[in-house]
Amino acid sequence: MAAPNIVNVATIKGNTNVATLGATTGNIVTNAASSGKVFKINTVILSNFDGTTAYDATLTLYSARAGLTKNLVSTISVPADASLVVLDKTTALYMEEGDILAGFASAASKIDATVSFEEIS
Amino acid sequence: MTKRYTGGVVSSAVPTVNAATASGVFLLSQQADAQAKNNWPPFKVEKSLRFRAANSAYLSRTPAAASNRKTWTWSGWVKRGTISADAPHFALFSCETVTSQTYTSIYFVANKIYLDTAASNVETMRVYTDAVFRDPSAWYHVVAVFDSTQATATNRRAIYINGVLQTLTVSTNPAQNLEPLINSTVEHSIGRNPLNGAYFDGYMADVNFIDGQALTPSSFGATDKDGNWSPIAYTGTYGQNGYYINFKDATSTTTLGYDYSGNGNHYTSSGISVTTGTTYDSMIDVPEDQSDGTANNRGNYATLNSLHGQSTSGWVTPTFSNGSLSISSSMTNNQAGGNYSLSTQQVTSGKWYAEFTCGTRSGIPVAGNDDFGVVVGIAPTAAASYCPDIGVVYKATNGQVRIDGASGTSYGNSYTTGDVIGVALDMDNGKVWFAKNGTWQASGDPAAGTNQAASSRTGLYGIGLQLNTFANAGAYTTSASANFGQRPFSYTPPTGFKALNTFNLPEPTIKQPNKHFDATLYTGTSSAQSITNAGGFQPDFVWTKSRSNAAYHGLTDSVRGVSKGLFTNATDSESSAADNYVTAFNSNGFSVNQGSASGYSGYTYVGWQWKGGGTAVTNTNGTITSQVSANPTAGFSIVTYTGTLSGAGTATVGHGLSVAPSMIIFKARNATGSWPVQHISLAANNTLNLSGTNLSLDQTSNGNLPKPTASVFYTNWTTGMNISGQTQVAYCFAPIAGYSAFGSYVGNGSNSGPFIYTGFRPKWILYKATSGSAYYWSIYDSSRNTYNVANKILYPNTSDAEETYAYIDILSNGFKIIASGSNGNESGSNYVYAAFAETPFKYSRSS
Repeated sequence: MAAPNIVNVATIKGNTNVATLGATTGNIVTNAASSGKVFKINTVILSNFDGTTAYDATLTLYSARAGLTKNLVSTISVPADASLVVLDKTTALYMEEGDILAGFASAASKIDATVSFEEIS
Repeated sequence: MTKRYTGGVVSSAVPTVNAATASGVFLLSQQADAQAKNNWPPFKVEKSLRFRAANSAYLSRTPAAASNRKTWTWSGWVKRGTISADAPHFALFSCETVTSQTYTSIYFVANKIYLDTAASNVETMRVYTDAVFRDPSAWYHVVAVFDSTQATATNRRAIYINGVLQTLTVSTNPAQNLEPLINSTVEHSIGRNPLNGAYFDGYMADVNFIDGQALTPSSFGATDKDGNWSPIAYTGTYGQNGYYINFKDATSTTTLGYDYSGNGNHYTSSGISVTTGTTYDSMIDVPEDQSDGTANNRGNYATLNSLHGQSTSGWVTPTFSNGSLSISSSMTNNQAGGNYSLSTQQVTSGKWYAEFTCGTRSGIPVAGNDDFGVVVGIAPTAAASYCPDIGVVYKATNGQVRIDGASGTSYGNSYTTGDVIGVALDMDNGKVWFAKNGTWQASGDPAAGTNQAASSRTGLYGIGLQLNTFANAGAYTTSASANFGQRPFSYTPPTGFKALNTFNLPEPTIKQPNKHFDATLYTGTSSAQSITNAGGFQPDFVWTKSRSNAAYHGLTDSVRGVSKGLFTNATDSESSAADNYVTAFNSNGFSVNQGSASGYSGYTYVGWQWKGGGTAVTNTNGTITSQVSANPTAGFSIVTYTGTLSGAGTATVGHGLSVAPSMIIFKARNATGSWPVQHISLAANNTLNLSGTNLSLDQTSNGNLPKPTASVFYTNWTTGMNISGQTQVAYCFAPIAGYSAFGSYVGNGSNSGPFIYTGFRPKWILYKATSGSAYYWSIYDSSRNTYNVANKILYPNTSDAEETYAYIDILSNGFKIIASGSNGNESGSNYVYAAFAETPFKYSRSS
């Protein structure tokens, strides 16, 4: 099933995925191949829950159509006990079928990622 | 190292950096801005402390043990309250043994900053700035450095203001390895000089003292993306007696002096209050704008402007105190003349709220006479004014309002000592309301926009006080305290009304003025060279003038073409000469080659540059078709056309701007003749002449000359403006808030001359007398005048080299004449001015 024409959709579901970033790349949001869906990412928040040290985070987006993985943000510093809004509704992006939002941190289990998106089909 | 951020709030709303809770939710854009100035996570100065000299306010601490007395750095953000020309010493940081008169002190005297040490009253170091610092409207960053271990005497001390190393006058340089009192076991004071009992009046924020290190301002501040010097977190070590006092904990007067360096070197406060009311000294008036989740928000707050209200000689000058939030005035028996004060920030739009607490009142005029009152209005251009001619006064004695100078009319209740008067000024809808002790008078409702005290308010309005007007038979004394929201309001502002501070001021259209105008200094070589402006823009109009030598001014624009000069000091027609004048307009400046007007070898020059609209386009809006290169964003256009009038009459020319120009400079290109100037502040049908000293000239006999409209300007049969067959150029300038201003003032013949509010720190100022004694046009710019007093003048109507005469202060929100005489401040004479910005006031530091 092809991804929907978003001018005329049947369903829009609100979703939020959460993940704690590891030291190596891990998937946060996956739009499965042939899902028949498009994801509109409205919010990506990185939260460093360590109280003393800033850690870096990298988020990547795999584009199935392009067959490429590119950085959304790269080694971006998140202060101790602080959150960074990487993406909000003013900079929303679409994930097509097969696309994957993934990420890792400079140390495992220091940064949480919260991703809120619309699942459109 | 102190951790400055705690928490970790994730908000579903658009997050803001919350200074109150330091919650630490950031946007990527904030991170980019912060990292650009090495300030990630973004550090914010949360509060300041007001030092009331009148209450002998200061902080003190006596170290338990001495430490490094040879090397230290003091850094603090300072906003001045009381400005005094002479002693006493307004001390920022001092250490003294009064009995032996041994001391070290950083202080203001005669508005210069001194770094001073003495042993048994014998001077061991005394240096002070060449510049004066008497701008009460914004913040200074002061860094004083002492390092007597340096081999070179001049390297043993330094003073930086807003990140700039100051030129110092030396009375005595410190001897190598000198050990003054700082870091000894003698009492150290912030805001006091114990020796002479003099106290600093104003505000301090983010005070760091580094024991044992000689640092530069880059440890405490950095230039932000818009080019403005801003505070950053100090991340180094403090040393044994070092401290970091941020005044953020207003739990008590004790906590206000807490040291956050980690050293526990807490200071003890004296003369400081956190009691609710007019004496509350913990302020959210800070040097950097920030949202704090409240209606007020934080930033540089308005105070009463002590540069206003210094009027006609012999009139009463009010006394400002308590960080310029208190004002008092006394008149003697039957004395004529009064005074007023408006806020340091003025507005043309938005909704604003402020409060004033009525203080002492004695010898009150009989009801019906003009009296003390809370006022909103436009600063008067005339010196002999005790109140804005255009504005609204809510009078204490009888509760009347007086609107635009008319007789008072019945409005609300009278008020007296202790009453809190609220003002709601809605410049979006032109309305004003007053409240007494929280009750809006005459059933007013600012939030609903109904039952206002006055309506149809337009223009640049300030909020303040009318003090004395005319005394009865007997003395007349008044005082009041202002609150623009830097301390808690007594009453909740009406919905939609904001505190008057730089955070809440509207974003200027042009954040970086040097993208549209710049003044660049260079030296001629009599050979091809490119001159690069700081803003990196391509100018369309360049005006060059030798500073060092008598030489013609040279004006070249992209519409007439390169190597074509016009000369404001002469009536000559356009001169075209290869390699002369401006030879190219480049993407980041311009090129010159030879010729005394622009590039003679060894001559020093200034090049004033305006960005136009590039290639000219045909404009048919007027009765004469014109070629126009217009930059509406910056309110500037270059217009060429051919004259059509053979006798008295009027013709119109399209100028390409969407608003009416306030100043137009004309010149015939193919004929000799004068340089007519139209200016918004001239009477109808009047012009000035840029190439002469003429006062205002009535051109009625040449035809009507109405004011320009949003699409055209008017010409009549005046030489240089419209003579049949003569080719013309016209440079048109329209006001852009925060970028350019055009207006007038009246001289008062005093060395404390008129203050002119522009809404920005000027980069370039032009003024000219239009009545009184005929005198030259004068131009100042901050590229040549890098500090106050601004004293380097060029005269458009002469070829004279730059002259030096102390005449104006260039300030964060305007300029002030500080000399008398026909040049710019002859008593009762009218002057017109034009000014272009270096920095919009919203972002400006004091200067």
